Amino acid sequence: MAIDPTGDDHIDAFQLADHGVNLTQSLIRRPPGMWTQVQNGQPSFTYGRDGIEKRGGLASFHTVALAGAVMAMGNVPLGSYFDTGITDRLIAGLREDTPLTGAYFISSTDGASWAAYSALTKPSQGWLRTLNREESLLYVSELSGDVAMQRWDGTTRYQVVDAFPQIADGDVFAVCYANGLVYFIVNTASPPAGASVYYVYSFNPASGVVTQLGGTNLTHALIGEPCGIEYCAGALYVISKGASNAAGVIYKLVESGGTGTWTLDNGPAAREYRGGAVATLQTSATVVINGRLYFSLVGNGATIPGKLQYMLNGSYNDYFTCPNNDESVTSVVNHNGVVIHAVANPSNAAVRIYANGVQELDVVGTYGATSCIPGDAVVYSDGSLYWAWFRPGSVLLQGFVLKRTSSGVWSQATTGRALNGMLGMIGVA
Amino acid sequence: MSFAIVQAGSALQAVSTSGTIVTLTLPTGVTIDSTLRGQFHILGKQLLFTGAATINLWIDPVTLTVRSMVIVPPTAAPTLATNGTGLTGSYVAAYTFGVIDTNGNLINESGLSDLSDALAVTNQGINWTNIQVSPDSSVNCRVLYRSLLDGNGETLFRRTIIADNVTTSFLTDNLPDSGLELLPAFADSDPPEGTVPGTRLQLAVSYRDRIFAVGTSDPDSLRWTEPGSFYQWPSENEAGLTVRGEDQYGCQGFLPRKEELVILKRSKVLRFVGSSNDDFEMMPDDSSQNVGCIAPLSCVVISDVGYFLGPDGVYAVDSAGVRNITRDTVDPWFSTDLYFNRPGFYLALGGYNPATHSYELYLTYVGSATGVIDRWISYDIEKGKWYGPHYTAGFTPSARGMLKTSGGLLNATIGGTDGYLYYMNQSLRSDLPGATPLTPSAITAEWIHSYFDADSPDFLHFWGMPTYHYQNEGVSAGTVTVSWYTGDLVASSFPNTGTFPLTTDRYRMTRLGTGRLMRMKFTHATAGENFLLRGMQIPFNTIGRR
Repeated sequence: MAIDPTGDDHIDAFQLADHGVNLTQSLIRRPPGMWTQVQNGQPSFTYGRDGIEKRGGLASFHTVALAGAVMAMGNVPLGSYFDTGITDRLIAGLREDTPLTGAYFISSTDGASWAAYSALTKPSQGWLRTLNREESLLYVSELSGDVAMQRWDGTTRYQVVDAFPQIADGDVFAVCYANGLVYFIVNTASPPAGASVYYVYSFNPASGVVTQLGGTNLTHALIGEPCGIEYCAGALYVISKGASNAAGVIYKLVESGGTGTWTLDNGPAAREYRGGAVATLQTSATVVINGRLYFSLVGNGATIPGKLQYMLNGSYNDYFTCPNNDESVTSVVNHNGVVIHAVANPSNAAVRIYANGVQELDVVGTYGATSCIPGDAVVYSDGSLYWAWFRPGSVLLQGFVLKRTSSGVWSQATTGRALNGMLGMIGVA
Repeated sequence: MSFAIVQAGSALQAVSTSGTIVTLTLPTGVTIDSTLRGQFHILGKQLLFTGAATINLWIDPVTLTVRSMVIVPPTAAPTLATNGTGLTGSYVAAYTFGVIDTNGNLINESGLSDLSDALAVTNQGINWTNIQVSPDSSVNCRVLYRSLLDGNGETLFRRTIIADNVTTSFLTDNLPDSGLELLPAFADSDPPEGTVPGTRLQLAVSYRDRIFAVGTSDPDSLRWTEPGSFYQWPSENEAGLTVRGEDQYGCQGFLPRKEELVILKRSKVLRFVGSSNDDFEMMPDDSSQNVGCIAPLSCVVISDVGYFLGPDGVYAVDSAGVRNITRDTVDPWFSTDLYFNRPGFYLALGGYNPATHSYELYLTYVGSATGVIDRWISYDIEKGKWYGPHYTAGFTPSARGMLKTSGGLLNATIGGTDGYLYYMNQSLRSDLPGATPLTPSAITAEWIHSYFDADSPDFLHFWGMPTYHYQNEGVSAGTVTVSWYTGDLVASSFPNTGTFPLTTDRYRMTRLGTGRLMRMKFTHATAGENFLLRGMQIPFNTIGRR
């Protein structure tokens, strides 16, 4: 019998990857494309997946052998030792209504050159204060019902405190950071009214726990508008303008098993303490330096000068008296233990900065008319103090960052920015 | 910038995507067992290493500083004595060892020392002495805790931080309760295994912002940390893997799925569900019976489906249940001793290959010694089919992972016993050993097709001249060897051989011959050259029944 070498019939085997390796089905009556071994082969990824293709190669990407056999490996998708670009970064918030090329922040890595910074998006509400802690930038809004506190870790912005217990929608008046906790003072109403109550909370950024501290005896009628909250020498203090915002009071929390009450520790003073709403921002002039709680007693604007006072071991004392009757201490910040405070008169025609009570800078004389209403100051990794200032006004809200080196040399780190007072520092890759 | 962290023998090394290698300095007295496979975990921007070092380690990715993951607590209580004025009542105290960063933030803390004896004071202050110095070089502070008036130690508040590891006393404590209560309370922590040498975490996984782990001495006890914390292990964060003590192995694998942590024992699948301590719950898997994992490092989750090696094959687990994905196709790989060294199954490694969307399992060839990982098989997830076994002549694999390339892509990576990391799926069809001289190693493709029987296996056939369709590899390409056999179901050899050139895309081979059945094998081993077989047409005549 003659045999046709081309065959009378034929088998088409063109779906070679459809069945893979099969060792269990009967050895006969198998479909085309069923293999018993595909060593170093895989479904083709070139022009469809019906064919079988040799696997891709294996190639080392380093030329020096590791210290031994590779026993385990992991990918580390984090800012790392190998990031030569990871640097500390100063960040200043612009006014919300004046974005700079789409950014609401400017930043600098050297304290000298500043540029628009879009990596951090702005919160929906104006901020009250920034806190550089826990390797993050914590920033606080005035409105607890919307944004109380957010955290930015250099990559992502997180909402860490959204609302406070007992309070539906109140204003955050002051915050401070101590003992690994953020302390807030918040009012139950917005704006505070006579019978509304100020609550104080601690927030633990590590655990996310919010705890109310003390009782509810801090009514607005009693203490007026808070200027600051500070932790000093084992106690928590609220510095406030006093009744009718006219006679400053300082309350101290005497805690007792979660049922502690706020007790008057100082005042009422002859006048109010410095702080409160200025040009839509809450500002304060309180700080703790070397165990002393500093706060500002406002002058009367004409005949009685303002003072910077302090509390130490329960005793209240004068620290600095403004040279002129119409002046007050408008702000006080800490530069590595040096007490830095600013003095201004009501018209801001004279604004000066003092270090440990000694004048170091005539701000108006050096940089022109300004208003000392700082939001935040930060000691950067270069050891210098950076302090955000701005000049209130309806049109040109030109602000700037002042820099003080550790040796007391002042300079203007930025010019012509409409700062909103926020200033922070964080390492950013 | 992403980088690779590697356990290389008894060292920890970091490797940048450009190949720069940095050897990490281990804490004093800490060593790594080069015969054990450690595990790396990431939690809260920190890197952790468990399982192979004498203690669990914490690695700062920015500085590459290596510290104890969990610090051993002090072994002695502080001593309290009266001094000065200020307090009235009875107080107890304790302290921890800790680590603070350059900003003074407490970033790691041990468990608590024993409580001091109660000290009764009457308008007196308290002197703390006998505050131990930690032998752990990571420690740079001690954290002092004190009770409130007449407290029994159940709640302690952070009195102060001694920002060094030198000072042994604290004078004078007269902080009233009103101030103390404002400070953070101590959070209970019961150190897990691997905190001190001699114990070890058997397996751990980062899941739901916590570390979950089991230790070697009690592998039926699942422990987990507080959220976002790698060093806080409250004693109440524990669940038993029922039935406790049913075997010596306990937990044999973790599969962190989106909504559950699948926990594998040797003969059981458990599902740990919930999102917090309030609703965590351990449930047995109802779809499986006597199914479990034999190879802890074979566990991989791909697109929310978990894969693992059981003693009798590979299993997939998802919300629908647990199913064997090898029984219907490649069961002999796992149920016979013809292919792999089955006693060595417990050492198998799993991995995901995103380029081929495959689960890969690394095993020991039947003729190789246990522990030598020299073959791997791949499961095409889309097709649901297996391919392999694969191997490389360039080096011996010893680890499997996923690393980012300099281009930012996550690539399947094999580690070798030669100390090199190898990206997979490279376009060059050779394996390039890392050691110089860089001599490319050919990838030997050997594909054996099942018997062709022309739908009539009992009839004698004449097998004509097959045509092969394949990818043209260029004018200088080599050849593919085709070996074939015609006959009955008896022979395993391929006595006939021919070749076809890869310089074309179609080739008609010579006549294959006469036999009831026919099978063929394709072999291609030219370094640097691809081989893509698209299909074939095989003519035949049916001669008749003989």
